[in-house]
Amino acid sequence: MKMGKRRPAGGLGGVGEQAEPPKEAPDRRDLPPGLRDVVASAVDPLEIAASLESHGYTTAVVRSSFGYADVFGFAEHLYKTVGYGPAPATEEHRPRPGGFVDLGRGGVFAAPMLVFAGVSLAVRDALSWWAVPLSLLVGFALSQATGYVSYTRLGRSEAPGPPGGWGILFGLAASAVASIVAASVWGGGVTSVLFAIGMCTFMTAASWLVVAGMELLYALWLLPAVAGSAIFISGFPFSLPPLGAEAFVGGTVTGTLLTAAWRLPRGWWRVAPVSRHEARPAGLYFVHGLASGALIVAFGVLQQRRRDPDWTAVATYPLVLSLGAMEWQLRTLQARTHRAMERHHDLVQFARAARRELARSLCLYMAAFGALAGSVWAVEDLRHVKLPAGLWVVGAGLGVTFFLAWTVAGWGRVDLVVASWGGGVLGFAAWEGLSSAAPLARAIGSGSWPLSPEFVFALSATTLCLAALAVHGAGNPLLHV
Amino acid sequence: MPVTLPAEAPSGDAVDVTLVTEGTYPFAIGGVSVWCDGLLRALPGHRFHVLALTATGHEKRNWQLPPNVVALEPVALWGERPRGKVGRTMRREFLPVLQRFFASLDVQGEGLDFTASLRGLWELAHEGLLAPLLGSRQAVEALVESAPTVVRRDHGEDPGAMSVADATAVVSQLEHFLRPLAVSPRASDLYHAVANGLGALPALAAKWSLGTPFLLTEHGIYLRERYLAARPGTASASARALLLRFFKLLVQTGYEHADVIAPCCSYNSQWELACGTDRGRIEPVLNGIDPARFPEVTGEPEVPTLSWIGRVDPLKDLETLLRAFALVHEVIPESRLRLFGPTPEGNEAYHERCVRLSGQLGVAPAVTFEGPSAPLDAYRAGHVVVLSSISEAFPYTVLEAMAAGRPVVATDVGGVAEAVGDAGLLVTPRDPPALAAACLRLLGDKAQRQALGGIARLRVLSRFTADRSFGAYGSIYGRLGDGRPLGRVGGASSIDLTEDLLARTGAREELRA
Repeated sequence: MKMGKRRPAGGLGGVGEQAEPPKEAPDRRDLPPGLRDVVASAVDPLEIAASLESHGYTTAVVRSSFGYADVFGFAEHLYKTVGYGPAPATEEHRPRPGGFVDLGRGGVFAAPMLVFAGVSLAVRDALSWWAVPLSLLVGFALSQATGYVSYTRLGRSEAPGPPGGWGILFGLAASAVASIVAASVWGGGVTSVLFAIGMCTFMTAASWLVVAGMELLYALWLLPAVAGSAIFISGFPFSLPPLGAEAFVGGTVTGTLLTAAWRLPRGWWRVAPVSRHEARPAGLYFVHGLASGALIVAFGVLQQRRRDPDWTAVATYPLVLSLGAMEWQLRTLQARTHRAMERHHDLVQFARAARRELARSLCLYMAAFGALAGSVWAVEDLRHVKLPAGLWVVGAGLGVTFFLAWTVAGWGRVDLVVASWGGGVLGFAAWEGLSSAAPLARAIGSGSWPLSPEFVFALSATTLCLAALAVHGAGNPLLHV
Repeated sequence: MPVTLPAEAPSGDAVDVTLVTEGTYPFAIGGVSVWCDGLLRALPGHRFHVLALTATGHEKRNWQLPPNVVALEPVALWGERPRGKVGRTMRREFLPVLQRFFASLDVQGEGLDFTASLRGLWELAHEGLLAPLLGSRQAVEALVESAPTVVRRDHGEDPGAMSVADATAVVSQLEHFLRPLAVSPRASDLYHAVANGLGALPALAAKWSLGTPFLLTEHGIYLRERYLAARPGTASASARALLLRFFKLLVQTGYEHADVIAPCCSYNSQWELACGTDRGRIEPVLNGIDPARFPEVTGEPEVPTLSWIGRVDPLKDLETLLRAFALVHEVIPESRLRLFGPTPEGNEAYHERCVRLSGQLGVAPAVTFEGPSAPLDAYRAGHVVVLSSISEAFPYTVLEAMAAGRPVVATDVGGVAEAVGDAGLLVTPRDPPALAAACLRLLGDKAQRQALGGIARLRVLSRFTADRSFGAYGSIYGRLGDGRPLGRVGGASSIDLTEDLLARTGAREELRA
């Protein structure tokens, strides 16, 4: 260890003071394990030289031990004599496998919607009409933006904590301000304000926990609320009083928020919520979340005011519950598309395979949607709740729209998704403006506006636009990186 | 967009220098940033425009720029893709340029010159067409069709054809790596790149368009560090091979075009020569420090203590240091290990791993992660200063510790042996028992510690001062900036390679005896 008296770390024997230096180059098996892989995988003798040096085989050692002029000569020898056998990419560098593994993960995405429905039913008597729409709108929008910024930071190997902290803080502030304003304009009590603040902050915190890799912890916290909501809504296996459901959900919300706060890194507030170049895409994700929330509100929430209470959210259940299946299929699509990229050496063939995978995933999602819709229909039929058939069809259409929008957004083209949402809104407004036969006010007043021609037209146009984008984009491998 | 700064106008023979950094000054903490700051302050008579290649372009600036820096221009490699579109017709017209570039990566592609094809890309980048072209599906198609052979080995598996996934990964990474080509060259007297590789791209562009002289300083060997970072298994074999081939050719182009290559130690020049560089253009300029900032520290801590300073990073191999310390701790249970230095963003997981390892080794109570600290405090804190890196150039921490009169135990990597000479103990990297034995030896022998500390300080004062080092740069600037004929200088810091290497080997033999 003293100057000059050195030996390579591990593997080869040291060059002792008394030892006659061996002048034979070693076999690959004589090298330490870390070096062995590098030698076999090396693309150039210089790569071997770099690794040899970092393991202690400096020019001096190589010269005295093996008789080579320098480390480069030794590396050249190994490069020529050892066969090429590159190490395969480790699993951590591959996308998640998809398939049934992600079905469980999908549950984490669907469960909050069940909880949402449960708690809004439990406190509905004390809840103003604006509370649920406001929570959904702000919650969806902020959770999308928080998720995007956190993922981006993770992609740069930076801690995803700061956007989580800021997201929760913004969620708290935005929902508090918005709900207080709403209460003062449209009326509403403390319950409505607390409901909006709690649900919105919960959604943002949940989104951050998922991105930050704490899905399991979050899923554990979700269990009481899911159980409480499911029992309260279905009345099976026993009838739960509203206070019981509120307690279950309150426990979940509090636990999730405390967990998120506990896992935030120290000093997260010292990092700006978004950097300048992230601001635009974060804003687009915010709008994407806002649009998604608005569609759910438009479809399943606003009309409840005009209807029998038993109708509450019935038509929305298949849609919101199928978010889990959607997440499952989006992951599966990603994994299968990536496998297709690895399998194909031709872009045309790859594009065909990628489009097939897109169709397959959409079909599987729709099958899951159909199964959920059937179950909801059966349960509600037993409870003598009759929904117009058209509402099921529009609900299914919304499912397709969501699936396509999330697919395209997942490729990083959230700008196109937002443009499609914008197109839909414009189409709706144009129809409203042109048609005196179906003014918006009359449609809303009738309580069936998701079935109004302008809504169906706008939704169809948006869906077609998104479908064209998805089919075109599926064939572009750069979108799948 | 460059940030123009209020500047005191240097007078007379001021040379207008564009200093190109990558991932270092003025945003990151580390040896290269210390060096850049020292250079800028040591040469107040010259004007500097700092072109900093960064990750996003919005990093926090960690260094106060001296008044002779007239502008700072961050160039983001990983931010949003530069805007721009290429229509179908233009794409058809320019795709052949890209195809030629891909073909020039082929190991058998004699006749296809990488430099010429890179120059073709620079012309596209200059027009704002390169990024959108590389962001198109057709670019992936072009690479799949070109299918360059980048590995040629006599035995073993067939590298196989390139898949769509590999081509996509390569094209999307190349789009980031080639962004510096799009920076408009400035009318400087000189481009000075502080690293080869991507840092050389703006200098190459300036040379091609304006004929600006190009000075290349190498602290770490760019290619060597790329190889070490691209461990097998971190990407698919084909994509990894192709990107490493690109870096090798890019580095060689940098060497080929630099008017003067100034490695910070003779060790680096071995690599430059191995890459086919002309020996006549290599002028090593050894790093130096300001001895006034590192006066001799007196006294020693009460308990036997090892001190380490640096950024918490896998290249520093703290795991070996912790394992070595565990062995030291077995022999001297009251011993301590104090680790000074920041954990850069992105290395938090490595920091955690080290903390966990110290717990697993049962030495957690004796190991402290002190965080950022004044270097002199770190050197004062230990009986011995330890360096456990697997890759270094000519590390400042070693020079500073030596100037402070502390004995050093270091791994024999890069130019560490040149710095330490006979004033410390060298061990092989990744060898905890050897590192532990050296530390134990010094911890147990006060007389040897004091003797080595004294020799170390004298060695720094006589060889490695900032005045000598930056003075040599002033001389190179003068020559290159004036457009005088280029040739080697006999400055105080210029060292004859062969002589230095022989001296190094000879010294070892002597000590071995």
